[in-house]
Amino acid sequence: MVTNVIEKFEAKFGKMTVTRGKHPVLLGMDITFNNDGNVTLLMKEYLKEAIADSGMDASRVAATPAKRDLFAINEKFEHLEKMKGELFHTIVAKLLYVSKRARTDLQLAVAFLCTRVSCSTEQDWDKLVRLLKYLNGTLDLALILGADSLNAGASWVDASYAVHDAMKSHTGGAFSLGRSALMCKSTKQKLNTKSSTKVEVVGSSDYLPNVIWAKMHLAEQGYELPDNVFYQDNQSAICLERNCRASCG
Amino acid sequence: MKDRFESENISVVYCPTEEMLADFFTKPLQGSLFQKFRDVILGHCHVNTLIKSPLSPSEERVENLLSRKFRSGVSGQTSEVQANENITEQKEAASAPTYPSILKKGVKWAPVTVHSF
Repeated sequence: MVTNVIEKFEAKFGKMTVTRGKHPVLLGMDITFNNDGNVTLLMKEYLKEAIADSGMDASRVAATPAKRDLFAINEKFEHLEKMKGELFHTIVAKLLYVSKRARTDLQLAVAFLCTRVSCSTEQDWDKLVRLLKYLNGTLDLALILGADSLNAGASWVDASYAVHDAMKSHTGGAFSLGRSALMCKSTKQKLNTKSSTKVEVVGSSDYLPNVIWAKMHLAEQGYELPDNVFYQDNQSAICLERNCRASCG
Repeated sequence: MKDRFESENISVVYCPTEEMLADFFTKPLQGSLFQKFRDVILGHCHVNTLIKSPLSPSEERVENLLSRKFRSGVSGQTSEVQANENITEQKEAASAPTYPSILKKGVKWAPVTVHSF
């Protein structure tokens, strides 16, 4: 069956290099298909490269990717020199690639650092070093993708109010079919809002398309998702989403 | 959004902060909560482990009180209730700092005055 498909591809596009088996390497990702139906993704080599680029002391480690004051910006810190600024940009871009694939636990810190690449300061560099220290201690941490059932999906959406520059807020969301967050999102919101409830509503409106996409994507493959739960932690936002205008005070 | 929730058959449900997986993507979490969420997000733990989180000390205390009240209404279980009370008292004694140890540290207690309105 697979051979047949490969032959058809080669007939149309010419000779290709084909990798088959349970342990392919693709775009920096070591993929392992486990016997229990789960897939493991590891990007160790890619991360090692990023750490080496920074010239950081390789023996230092940290427990979390960022300190509590991740979003705090102090204007007194000096801007990075041109070369160092470019290096900052390169490493952040590398980590962005990793965070969207095998290491979703970096998304928050990377999302913040991405907003700082054009005007990076020494403070941002320190935050990047902290992130790399965390990575240094957790190089072997892999993403295990899996699903419990194809009938029940759950998504979580949350937002934090006015954490970014210019009072912009931050949306976070995750979608799961039982094991691991299959689609994660952590982004700065595009519009300004005046209350934390509105921020939650904007956040869920940001993330809802992802849930609907996942639902349609599965439906196309013949798996309807009859049981779909959307978790929120703000009662007022839930009322607004359920009742629309009737709940607007 | 309301239309979408209805047409796509999605139910919006409240979720307490301890189980809010998306907190991981909005706040720089630290310590045990960070590890708990990271393990779930990277698939090392099942999503259900979020819900079965151990009770915090204050919740345990409330549960103890509730069960005590409930049991005291039932006859023939008084001895068990007393035993339970003893255990909680011991726990409290162990957790509460004794006064002499505090005084040794040099804490000065301000005189408490009660105003009547």
